[in-house]
Amino acid sequence: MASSPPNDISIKTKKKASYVWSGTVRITQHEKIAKDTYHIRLECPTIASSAVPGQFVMMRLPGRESPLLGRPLALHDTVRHGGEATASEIDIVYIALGRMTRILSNFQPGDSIEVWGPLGNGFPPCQVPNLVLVSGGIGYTPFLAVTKEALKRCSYGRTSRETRVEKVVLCHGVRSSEYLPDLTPFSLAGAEVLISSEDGTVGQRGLVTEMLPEVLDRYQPNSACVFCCGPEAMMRVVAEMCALRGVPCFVSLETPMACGMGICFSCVARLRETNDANSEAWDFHRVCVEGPVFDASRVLFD
Amino acid sequence: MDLSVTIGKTCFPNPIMVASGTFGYAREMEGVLDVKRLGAIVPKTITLHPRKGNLPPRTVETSAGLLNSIGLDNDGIDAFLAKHMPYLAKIGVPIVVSIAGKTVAEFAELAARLDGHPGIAALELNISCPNVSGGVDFGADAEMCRRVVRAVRDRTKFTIFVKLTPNVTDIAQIGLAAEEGGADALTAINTCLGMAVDWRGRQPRLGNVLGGLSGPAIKPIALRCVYQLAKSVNIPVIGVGGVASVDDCMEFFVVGASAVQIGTASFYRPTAVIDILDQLPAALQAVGAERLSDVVGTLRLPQGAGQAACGGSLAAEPVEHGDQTHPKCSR
Repeated sequence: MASSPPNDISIKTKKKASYVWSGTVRITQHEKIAKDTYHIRLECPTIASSAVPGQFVMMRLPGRESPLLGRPLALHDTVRHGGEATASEIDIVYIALGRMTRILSNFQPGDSIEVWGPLGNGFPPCQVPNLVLVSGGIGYTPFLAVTKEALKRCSYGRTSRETRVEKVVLCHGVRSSEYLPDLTPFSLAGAEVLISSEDGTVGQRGLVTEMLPEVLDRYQPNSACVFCCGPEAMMRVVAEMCALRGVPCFVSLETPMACGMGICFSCVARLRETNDANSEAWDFHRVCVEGPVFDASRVLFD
Repeated sequence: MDLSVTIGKTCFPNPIMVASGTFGYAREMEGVLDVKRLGAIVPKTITLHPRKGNLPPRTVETSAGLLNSIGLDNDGIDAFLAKHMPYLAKIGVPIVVSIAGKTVAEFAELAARLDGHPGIAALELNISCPNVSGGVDFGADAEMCRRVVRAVRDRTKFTIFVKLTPNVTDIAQIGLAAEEGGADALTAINTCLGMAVDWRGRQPRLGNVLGGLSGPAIKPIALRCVYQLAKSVNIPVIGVGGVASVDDCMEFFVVGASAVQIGTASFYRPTAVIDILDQLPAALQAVGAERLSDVVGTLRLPQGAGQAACGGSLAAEPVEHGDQTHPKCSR
């Protein structure tokens, strides 16, 4: 009994392109926070003061032609120092898996890196009382800013983004405990944090999708909303669970990108042309400018 | 310094253009840089009918390069004219509309539909896309090239650029055919056909298996092609392929390019095209040039090097008939 989710929250489609800052910035902090997982802080006031949760930046190693391209990395949080009217730094959390991120992991505070952003649409401000965040692996990174905005601990962007959230639950799945970073910032911001691990070394043993039904069953469908980010297989299952219950679900897609600005047409995902779950009509859409956050009911997962 | 350059019937305010397929429909970049300063905008290639494009992954990074198989993803000419052309026309920069057809008739129809459309400065015939079936046929065969250019010439008063593929034995022969067909300029080069493989998974890295290589990795090939073309034809050549700095531009001018297009560099340095434009006057002044044409085609060859360098240098052995094939080559 699939029902299409209510359109409580709509993502505005792109109108005029918003300002994208690009340049070379200084790394002010860089530390390892879990296996292969790094937290990096960059001094870039223009991006920090305008970025909203769920947006991303492109980061590129300066002065080299290999690796040639930038890499898309989600905004983890922005940093506003005492006395500053707006945020001046951004935090990024990344996993060193590929060539670029492995080289990046050796960069030190004081080193420079090329950055452009903020990019993409970001998560919509949630208009229901219960926000459930579902992440797998490195997919949790956008959710700290989401949590702090939802629970009014922090504001992001240049214009006010009102939310009506009263409770945030983070359901985070990892392969094993060594991949689990310190999630205290989520608890401090007021979120309930639930952990699962595939090998049972931390939290509930199993996949994050196995503990989700219990959480979703706490709420009336029209009082909850799910934001999801992680491996595509996980997002597909989460999207199906939400569709069955009539809970709105937004997924942040990760596709290989070359530019991040909508000019190369690499990062496409298949989207239904309408919200009708029975509709067959689809087209490729650019994740970088139309996403990375999409209403899950529109996404045709592979 | 006056940087303007006239190609065909069109005067371009400066020789720094953005290459088709690497700048979207320009609107995407209005938040990134001042699009009004560009020498020309070549929007993403349009076709008669909408095309979904190829399956992802559509791009793979390679050493100093980018391999792509986008597959001319576009919504067709009707959507282009309705959705994108009004914005493009308002920018105030010459708009060069890139078109691709499967047949001579399709190219001709596209040209006829666009002819006289306000805001368009020129057409660029994409007869060199390696990522669609039949995409390079017109660019790989001199007679077909001549026919398709002639058909477009008969249907449009616009300036015509013909974008050539490097994936041929003798690019000069194709360039001459385009000129005979009525081209006002040649754009060289489109991407070089390539491949990337995940050997452990026994899989191609691109959804469409083969793709086109761009970026710094192909600059030597592009320079060679521009050099060979400029020696052979009497129409301007627009250099494209791995241009990422003002020095790259100067290299293309010196081997004979009248203008350049910036492509992949915009992907990894969003303001590359503006940075280059800012640095161009000083680079020209530094060599005593008062205008761009003072440096175009000023390559000095070592004594006796002309003939061999003119031939189809893709061949492993020196080309013996270079002079007959390209009359302008003899030195």
